[in-house]
Amino acid sequence: MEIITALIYVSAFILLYLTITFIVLFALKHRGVHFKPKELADSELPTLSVVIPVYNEGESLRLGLDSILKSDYPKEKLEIIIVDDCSKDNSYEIAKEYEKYGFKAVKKEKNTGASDSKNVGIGMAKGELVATLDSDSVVESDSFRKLACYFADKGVGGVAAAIRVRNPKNILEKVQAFEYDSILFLRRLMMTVDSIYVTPGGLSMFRKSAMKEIGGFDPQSLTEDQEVALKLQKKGYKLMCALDAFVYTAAMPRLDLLVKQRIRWVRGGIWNRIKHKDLFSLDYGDFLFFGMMTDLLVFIPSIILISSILYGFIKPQAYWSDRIGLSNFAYGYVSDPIIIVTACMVIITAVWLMYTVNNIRSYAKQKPISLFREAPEMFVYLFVFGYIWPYIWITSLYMELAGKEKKWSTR
Amino acid sequence: MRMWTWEIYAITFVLTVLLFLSGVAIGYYLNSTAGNPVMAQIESTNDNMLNMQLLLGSESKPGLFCSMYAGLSPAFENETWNIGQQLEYMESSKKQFDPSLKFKYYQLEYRDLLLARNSVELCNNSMKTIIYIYSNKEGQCGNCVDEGTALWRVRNYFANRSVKLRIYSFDGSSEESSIIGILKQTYNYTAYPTLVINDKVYAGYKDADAVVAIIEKGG
Repeated sequence: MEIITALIYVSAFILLYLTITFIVLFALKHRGVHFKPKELADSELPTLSVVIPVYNEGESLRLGLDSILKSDYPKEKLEIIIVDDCSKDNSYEIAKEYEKYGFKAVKKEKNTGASDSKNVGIGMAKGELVATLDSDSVVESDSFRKLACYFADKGVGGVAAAIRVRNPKNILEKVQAFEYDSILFLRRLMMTVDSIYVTPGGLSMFRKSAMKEIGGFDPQSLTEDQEVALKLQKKGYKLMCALDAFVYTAAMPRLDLLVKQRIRWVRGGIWNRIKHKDLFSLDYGDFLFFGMMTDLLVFIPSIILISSILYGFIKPQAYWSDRIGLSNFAYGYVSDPIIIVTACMVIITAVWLMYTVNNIRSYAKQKPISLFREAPEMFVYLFVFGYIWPYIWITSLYMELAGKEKKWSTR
Repeated sequence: MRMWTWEIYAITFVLTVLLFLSGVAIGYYLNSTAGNPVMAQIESTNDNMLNMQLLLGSESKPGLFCSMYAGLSPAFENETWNIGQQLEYMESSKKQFDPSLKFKYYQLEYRDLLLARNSVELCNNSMKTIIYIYSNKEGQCGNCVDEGTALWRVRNYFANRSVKLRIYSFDGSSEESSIIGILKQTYNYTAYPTLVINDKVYAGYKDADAVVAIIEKGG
């Protein structure tokens, strides 16, 4: 067997293994996925400070702030802190307008990034719990309450909200809406084996004492919402994910913005893992596999498999062109073992995607996926979207290793 | 020390192995039957050529044969070419070598070659033929891939021209086929690649321009 053929077979096996892992995890832990904490009465709810870092948000800031006004969290227990990172527009003035509702608006003296803004807000916070909320996120009225209920368990250090895409319009946004819902379900699944490795900036809630203990957010990290989760995991805090505490965020409307965002995510992920390399230890149990390893395990096999597919289309005589090239469809030779294994993976992924997205939609009281109406975005998600990832990883790895400047240019 | 839920990894491993091996087994089974349609194609084309040869032998007026051959000849060429491509694919990519298929294919090519040559004599047409003798044995033919590409270009060059060209390729190192024995005796070739253009032997690699020039000069 040629080396390239062997590599393709091994890559296909690893990817198939990872695809099936989550289904097996679900089969074994499905009860945990639908777990709900006990609801707390107003008197039992802890005090909560919501920190909103703001930078050049302009009028879109009102969307998020208005949604907070509708929150059903007891007003006397809720503190809202808006931290402006020296915006060049009128964001601070808009924030000031909300002081009449009891919100606090703070302007930093220097532009030092979102992580620092969150730390400033946490430093001022009076609540037992602190939530960090992206300035363009729109929360549902009961989201803070639902998140706070998880903290009745004293071991819980943080809870991630159910982040979804707000009003997806173009196909790229719709594909991201699929992705966000599916990832949300996966995050919840990971919760069943204590393996949540990110508490998204869209909206996450933390026990303030835990945040103080770990020293808050690291301004050096491009994905501080992941870095903070790794620190909490290391300290032994439980991280949870609420399936029904919804917060809506804007998806990237253009491919270039999406690529920039994903490069930032991946670079942040690499940097965080290097910083917390001590988490690569068998002592961390399932968290080592699900929290630290899965995306690394996907990385190399995906590059091998996807590169060989793309190369096959471009250059005749390459491995895959013989297997999936048009001429071979004509010959009726679409029977290569690796094609059958890959087809299995695509089918499993498609069914899994529909199942996970439909679960989230049922929590959000939305209609399930319509195969007829949503076929284009399903197709793009299954056959195009994944192809971008290996090249994002390669670019990110290069940028991180070459020490390229870190810019927090997309959310 | 935190918990490992070993059953997740063990069950996943068993399921992955089962699914992977099933996929591989199904793939290999389908591959093993891939030669059947090729054999059917060879037999069908062979029957048509045989009928043409019978007509040629029994027909006292060659003109009738000529018009019929002119109509059927492009189909013979296309079918033979396609079968050759499929066999090459099976051998190079799938590493499947079926001597009986190869033998039948060489017979088919040789029959088409004889028909083409007869048509030149009987119908006075401008049909040109190239016999391309290559070797699949490692180290015997460094330029065979390039020669194949060059001949593919030559074939395309003459596709819409008045000169009709037929290319027949044979693995000269193959010992299974009696057709190869006939070619060895007839052309006494020793090097790979060797081209026989209108019955003249040219040893060694020739690029597309050189082959076109030979044909246009009358071979």
